[in-house]
Amino acid sequence: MSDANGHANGTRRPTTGAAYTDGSGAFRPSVERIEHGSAIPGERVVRADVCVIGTGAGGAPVAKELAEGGMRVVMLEEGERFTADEFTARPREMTTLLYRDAGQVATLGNVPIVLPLGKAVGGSTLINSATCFRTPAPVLERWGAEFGLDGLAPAELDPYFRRVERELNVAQVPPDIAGHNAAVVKRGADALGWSGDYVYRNVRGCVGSGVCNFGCPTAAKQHVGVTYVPRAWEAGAVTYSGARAQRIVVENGRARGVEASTSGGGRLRIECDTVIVACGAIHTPLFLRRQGLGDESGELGRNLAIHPATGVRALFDEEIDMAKGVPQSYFIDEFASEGIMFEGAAGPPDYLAMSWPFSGERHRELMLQYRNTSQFGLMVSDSSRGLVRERGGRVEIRYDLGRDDVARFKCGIELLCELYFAAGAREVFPPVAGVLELSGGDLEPLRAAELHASQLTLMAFHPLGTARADGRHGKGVVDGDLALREVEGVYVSDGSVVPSSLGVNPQITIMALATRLAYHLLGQAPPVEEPEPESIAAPRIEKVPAGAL
Amino acid sequence: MIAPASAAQLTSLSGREASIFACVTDTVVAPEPQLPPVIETDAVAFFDRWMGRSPRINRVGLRGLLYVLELAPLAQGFGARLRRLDTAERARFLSEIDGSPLPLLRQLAKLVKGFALLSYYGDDRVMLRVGYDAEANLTRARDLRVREGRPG
Repeated sequence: MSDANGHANGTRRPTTGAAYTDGSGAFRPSVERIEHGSAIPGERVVRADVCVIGTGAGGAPVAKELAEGGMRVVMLEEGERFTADEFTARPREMTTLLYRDAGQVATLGNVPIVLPLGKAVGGSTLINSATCFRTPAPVLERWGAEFGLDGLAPAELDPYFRRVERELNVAQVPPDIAGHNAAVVKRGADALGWSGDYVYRNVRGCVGSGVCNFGCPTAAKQHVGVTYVPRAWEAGAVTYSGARAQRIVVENGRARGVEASTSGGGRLRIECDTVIVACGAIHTPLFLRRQGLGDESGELGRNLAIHPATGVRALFDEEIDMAKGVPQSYFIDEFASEGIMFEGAAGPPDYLAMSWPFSGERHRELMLQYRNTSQFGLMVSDSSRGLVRERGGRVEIRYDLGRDDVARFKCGIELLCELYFAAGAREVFPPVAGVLELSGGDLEPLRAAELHASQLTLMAFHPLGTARADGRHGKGVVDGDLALREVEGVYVSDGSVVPSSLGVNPQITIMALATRLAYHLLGQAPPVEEPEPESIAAPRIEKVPAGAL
Repeated sequence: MIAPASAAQLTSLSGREASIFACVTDTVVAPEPQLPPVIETDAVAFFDRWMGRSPRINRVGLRGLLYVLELAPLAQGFGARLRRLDTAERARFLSEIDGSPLPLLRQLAKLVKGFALLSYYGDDRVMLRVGYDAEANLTRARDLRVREGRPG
């Protein structure tokens, strides 16, 4: 039996309760087909049908689907593979191990923005918050209207999202694991009548260790390095870690392979007719540009959106203990249509230490109240756009926060401060130079401040758009099927193809597009046997914020 | 003066750079009396390892910044290098930089402060003192994985 869309009926996938907390059912491959680049000091030639460069949210799903579809797949990964045995629950140590450039990637512009990226098998999914939102329907509709991207309507992407969500076991955080940080924020939101919900996440058996961004020590997080990559191995694919792709071999306008260097000083040559570039929105455009590929439209490396974010902190009389519970367990979408999304941002004390805008005795005094401190995040669906380029062999990420986005931050910070007072906070600390502390529920100093970008303390986690897809003739770096213009047999599958800000965390959007690409390359119809989830996150995004496309 | 943990164990920083970083960290975190002094933590040793894993250009830049912070008090009329100032004078110097009208100077100071804070507050004993027991969290996670047969 099937429904109107051809999906199997009566097989709804559980998404609450034990679906989140049950740690059984993690996939264990019968064989680990991974070769370490450090063990390849000489030349090696490998024949394959497809070479996927990158094993993150864009690379791993397409590799797995193609391998299961019968293709011989090679995955190249510049980073190494890390397992739960190596995770120490110590953010400081893990940052230097799991993050690109030891966690020191940042944008240059009117306000520096730290932009953490993963560098490992699993890419940034290894170190993200595991938050899963489907692409908001208004965003998809605008992609169709503005970029000629047909076939991406919500109903058309639904089979791919279902498949991704099942592979990752996307389920909703139960309130008893969400942590008290979420509880106080929910209390404030409820008092103000604001909409919110517990986050849906890709986990199995999460107990709320509180260090999702630094390697999950319980192996609960179902990042693509423990889901899609092993399933790709099971289907015959091979991963080469410590292998940095150097160039795509092109002959007569068509891809013929990939050359890579290994961390052992050797060289790998993958002979194949299909190459999928999945290095992420920062490195994909640089990789293509080095070879003179992909810039026919003049858009390569441009249109960078990042979802800039910040956090507001508050002191309570009650104990919060941010080290316990899921750090990003609750979201508030009351203002999502205006481009302002609030999401949890709890965590251990060493990272909180960097967030306080103080030093000396005042800083120490606040750190000693860590257990009474709450922190919540604010993410903006940005209309500002940046660019990525190489200068003197160095990666340069330029991004100026525009006036509209500064205004969104001002509005969002005021709202979050209001929420904290409504929740009973004793003191509130906006991330704004010049307005460091608020007390007694008085927001006036913040409201009266004329905010400039340079006064903000920002981070960003979602680089998108630097090789954007566009279905119109001569526009975009890739077409609607993610095929690179100019060269036959080269595709892009990562955040760089996402044409605009999403307003929500992008990982399963990237994975759904990757899955769709695989089905396209296999010449298969969309999957129809995927079970419908009992529930999914449904953020209240009724329109695309002004300027966000 | 504040000495680094052990100059012999350093792999990226010189002894002098480590000493400057320890001094900056002590100024930024002002740990005593409630928290352990910088010298009793692994803050400097961690920063040294962190530098070792950083891109070369960042290492060079951060080293330069340390020397700028060491010498800037002379240029600003404090009468001595950072490491020769007493605690109160160092705090006053840092406060002046925090309030500088030059955004770039403020941002660079913020950067170094961030390194100092993460290096110090990531020490196990310091985290435990402020309320996070990393070892207990890890032990619980490992026990759970063994008990439930989860992947390693």
